Amino acid sequence: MQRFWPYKITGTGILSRAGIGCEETRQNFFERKFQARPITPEQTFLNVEVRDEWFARFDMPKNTSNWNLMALVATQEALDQAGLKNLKGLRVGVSLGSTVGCSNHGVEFSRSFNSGEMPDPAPFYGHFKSNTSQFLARYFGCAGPVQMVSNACTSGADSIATAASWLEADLCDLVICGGTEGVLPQIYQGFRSLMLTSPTLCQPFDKNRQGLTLGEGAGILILEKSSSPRASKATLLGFGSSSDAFHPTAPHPEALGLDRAIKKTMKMARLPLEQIGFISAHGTGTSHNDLAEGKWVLRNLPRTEVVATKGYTGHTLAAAGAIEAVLTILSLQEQKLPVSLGFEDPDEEVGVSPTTEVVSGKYQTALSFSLGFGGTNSVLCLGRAT
Amino acid sequence: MSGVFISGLGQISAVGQGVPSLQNALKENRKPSPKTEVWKTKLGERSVSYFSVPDVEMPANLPESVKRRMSRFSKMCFASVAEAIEDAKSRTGMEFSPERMGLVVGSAFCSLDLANLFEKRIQLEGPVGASPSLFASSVQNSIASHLSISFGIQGPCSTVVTMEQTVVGALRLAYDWLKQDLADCVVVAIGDENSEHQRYASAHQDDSHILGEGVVSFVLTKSDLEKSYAEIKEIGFTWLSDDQKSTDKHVDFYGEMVTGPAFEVAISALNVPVKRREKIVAQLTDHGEIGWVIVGPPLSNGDYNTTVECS
Repeated sequence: MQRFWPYKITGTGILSRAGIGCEETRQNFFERKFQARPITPEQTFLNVEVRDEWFARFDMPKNTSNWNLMALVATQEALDQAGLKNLKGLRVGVSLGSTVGCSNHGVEFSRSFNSGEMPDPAPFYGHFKSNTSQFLARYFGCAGPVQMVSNACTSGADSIATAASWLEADLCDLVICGGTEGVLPQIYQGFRSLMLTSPTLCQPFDKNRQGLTLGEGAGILILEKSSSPRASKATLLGFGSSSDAFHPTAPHPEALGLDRAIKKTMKMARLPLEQIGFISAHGTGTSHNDLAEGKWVLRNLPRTEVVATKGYTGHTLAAAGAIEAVLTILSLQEQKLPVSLGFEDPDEEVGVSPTTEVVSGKYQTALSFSLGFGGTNSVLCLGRAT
Repeated sequence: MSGVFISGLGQISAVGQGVPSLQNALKENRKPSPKTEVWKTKLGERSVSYFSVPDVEMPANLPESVKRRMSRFSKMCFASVAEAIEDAKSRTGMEFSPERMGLVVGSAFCSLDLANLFEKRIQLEGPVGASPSLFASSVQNSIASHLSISFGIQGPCSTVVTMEQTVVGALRLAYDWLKQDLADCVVVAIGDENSEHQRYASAHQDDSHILGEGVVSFVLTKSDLEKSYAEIKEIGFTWLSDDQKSTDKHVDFYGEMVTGPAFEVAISALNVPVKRREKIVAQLTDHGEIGWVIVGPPLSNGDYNTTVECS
């Protein structure tokens, strides 16, 4: 039994191609006709344009990585939303997911080394100090557990689940959790070599889908115990994760692993599946992912609304689960679902038609799916503020 | 009674493959011989000493197509995990449902050499040099993926990459999954291989340390089993007093490694039946953050010395 359930989400922060900050993202989802950025041979992913003012605002040197800077901006937004001006005296944990945020990503160092030159090893040692979770913990003076996971596309959701586990173990009073991601050239080339990238903007669940579009961004939640005195913006009702143990890059075709993760989530949330208001799908636009997810939805919740948001943000890899948790929370707050950009023509084999216009409704709860490279599945059950 | 117990152990390091290799090396004080490599740097020619894991013995029945996809580091993890799982099964006789088995891999660098090879091919050949199999095998969680597929682990699965806080983080994640009933058994594999980049960078340092590599694996369970090695009493991220901070005691056997304290946890567990003491294994980061693990006799043993000893 969870002692501190349900967990309060007291603040959210987000940066992605869908918008800088929750307010701009909300307007792009529900009030404006959002213009998705076209994908071309020269612009192969959905980037976030870094603003000079961020370096000044946080007193960061210009060589601060994009993903650390985005995480910082999103975290500050989340802390501001939660009304947390000062973390002194609080046990604060930092739980994040990222691919680039914990990898030795020194492109120039590698290039120079591989060319037989003798580069300065400083970038290699810089790797020790630039792990995003430790970077945030130092910046905000967090005296609590610190963790970074790299579970591919489920990292963001997994980090939120870890945050809840820490609260449950009373290791800390609140947790800065979520994910951040940047797109390095080698990452794009890797996905392209696997023939998973689309030459145009991704088309989740569409019969003409050709693959994924990479994106960068950060999504941060402030997660607290149910007993926290701060106002709730949403609640984390449950989480669950599993491993397909099937294939290194493709999901289980019948989504058996996803099914196990959902069952665990619903058990923790103490809710029957039928009460779920909508599903925020992983919806990458790849043949295998959308088919597997679609099969699960068709089998279990054929009449539940499905939203796929990667047409706005791109596939932000390790940050996706966290960014989409924030987007799900925005939908719960607005009681509206955005258009699933990129979807036009349903695929009979997939059997899922996500939203094609802004939909209003009464949504108390939602499920957010993340399916990862390597066969990981993570699910979050989010609810309206209590 | 409930607790978190180390019920199986596996290891691969410069002393050899298998826990008996480590035990014998410690008993006989037989330290491995380091290799030496000379690097050209802007400071002149510099030599680096490092330990190297011998060729990993992989099971004969593992398909070649699977072995080919695994990085060297992935193979080290596989060997260590295979031993730990077999050890747990033979010691405890327990079978675990695949859906209730979890997996945590902890590493500061993961398959860095393979990731560099992937990048190098693109640098030399352009986009056509991007190898799909190299990419898939070089992403950080590919090791966990290979392990979950090979051993049929279907529960929660995570790869922890938090530099000096990796050991504590990986063990804590498994500990919480067990305590919070998210799994019945968790396999934890922690370690690193020393990479070309690391050896090159090390050549610029003036100290005489020996770079290490290796992987130690634990099978953690929540049952109070008679045959478990030790109990993990607590794992924390808070400050300890100065006299509780540790230094690596057995680093001469596995080498300087960010994830080296995982070997200290394993050695503590092996020593528990003999020394019957709790032991704190702690690790400091460069910025002064600390993580610690307390390992002690399993709950079922009542007569043990409660003096806490730091290595």
